[in-house]
Amino acid sequence: MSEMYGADVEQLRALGRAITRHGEDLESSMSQVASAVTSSPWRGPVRDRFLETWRTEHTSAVRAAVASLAEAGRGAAVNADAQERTSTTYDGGSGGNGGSPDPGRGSGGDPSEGPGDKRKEPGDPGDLGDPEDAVNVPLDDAAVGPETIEQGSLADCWFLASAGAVAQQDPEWVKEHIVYDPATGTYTVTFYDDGEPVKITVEDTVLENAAGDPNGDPSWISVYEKAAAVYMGGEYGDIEYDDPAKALEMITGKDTETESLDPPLWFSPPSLSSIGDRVDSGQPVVVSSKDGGGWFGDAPSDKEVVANHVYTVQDVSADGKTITLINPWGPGGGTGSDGETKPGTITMSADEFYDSFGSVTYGSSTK
Amino acid sequence: MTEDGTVGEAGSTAQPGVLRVAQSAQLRLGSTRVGVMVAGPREGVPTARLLVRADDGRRATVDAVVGDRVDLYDEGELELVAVEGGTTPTEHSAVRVRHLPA
Repeated sequence: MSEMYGADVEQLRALGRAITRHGEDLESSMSQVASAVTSSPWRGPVRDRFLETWRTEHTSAVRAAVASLAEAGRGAAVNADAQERTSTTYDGGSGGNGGSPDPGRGSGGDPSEGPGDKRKEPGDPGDLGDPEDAVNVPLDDAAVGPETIEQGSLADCWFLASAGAVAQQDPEWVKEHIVYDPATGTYTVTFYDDGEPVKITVEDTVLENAAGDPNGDPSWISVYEKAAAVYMGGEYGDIEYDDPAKALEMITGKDTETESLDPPLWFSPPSLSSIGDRVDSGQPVVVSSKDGGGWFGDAPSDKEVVANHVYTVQDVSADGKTITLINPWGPGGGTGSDGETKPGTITMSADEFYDSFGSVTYGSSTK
Repeated sequence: MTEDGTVGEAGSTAQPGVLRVAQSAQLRLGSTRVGVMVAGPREGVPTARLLVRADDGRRATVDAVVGDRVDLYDEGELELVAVEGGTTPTEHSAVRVRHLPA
């Protein structure tokens, strides 16, 4: 029986609808009061003072309350969507994400055995350049990690940052799931579908404008990305824009959990310390910046933060006051709090973090 | 593509030397990377905020409109050819750019 985590999706959606409806009622009431007063036979200085106070103080207060209710209603809906995405990844139902199979090492997760072997070369949307050799890419400790990722021209930060988060916590997991066969010139990468291993075999070439290492050369992430394109549908374009929870699940085969960093009024977002505790316990953790890929909406307030983007959480300071993130853009993708350009990292205060990021996604430890 | 340089999300500007880069992604041109931080119409004008970084640490954030050329340090210039999508808060966006080597 699944244990319940988070919230019941339908109840959360109903709550969001109810909040929105009550906000609309409040807005309607405000109009009715104004109309009643101005159309009534009431005259005199008391009426005039009331109307002045109504216009200058009460109206703005009620409008603020209406706006808060509308925001809370939207927040509940966003939380419900996030909860549903997490839940349906595992059991197809709503309101819980327990009960998924554990394919971890020592529990039946041998990546050499799987029912879903695929071999195919992903299609190029046309702008990723020429193929280049990716023969036996380095898989040593120095080569595998979030700081060795440089995103290419695809909007697949959701996958790259998640792969970086797993590599940060357990580089051996990545090494065991990328196997090169020099005899055939192919890599076999193991992902998971509902906890079951799926082996993807691709040739040892990658496209020059796809992901690579910080020098722009093919690397472990190039191979991982190429295999993910096959896993996700067969075209490089198939890995654009998706949910980091899906990436963490397909890479680890294990549970994920997503929390909003901007929850409805009566909920608190996870503290930096609690996020840090997750990282310290070995969980891969990523954060998603707010929407606003265009010039609309609630874009990140920090101009160093890329909108609509996913970052790997490197760590949280011991005092819980700052968090350091790794941009899959690689070197220069962020600036440290001291203003120094660092290899893709960005360190920010709690206020900066919550202003700029919308959700945090936790994978399960692979150790 | 319309006269103002905006195309729909599924639009195509298949022109020689023109590359598509999704918002939140980047392009490496020699020793310089160009990341697309934001892309879409800003007050009706197709505009992209680009983060340009050189391998030697030089970096700059540039707001460019269609037709603008952006300095790529030692790698010449980049012309913003078109901006796709980004017309609503949730629509994905991308830019089309042309590299003009030094």
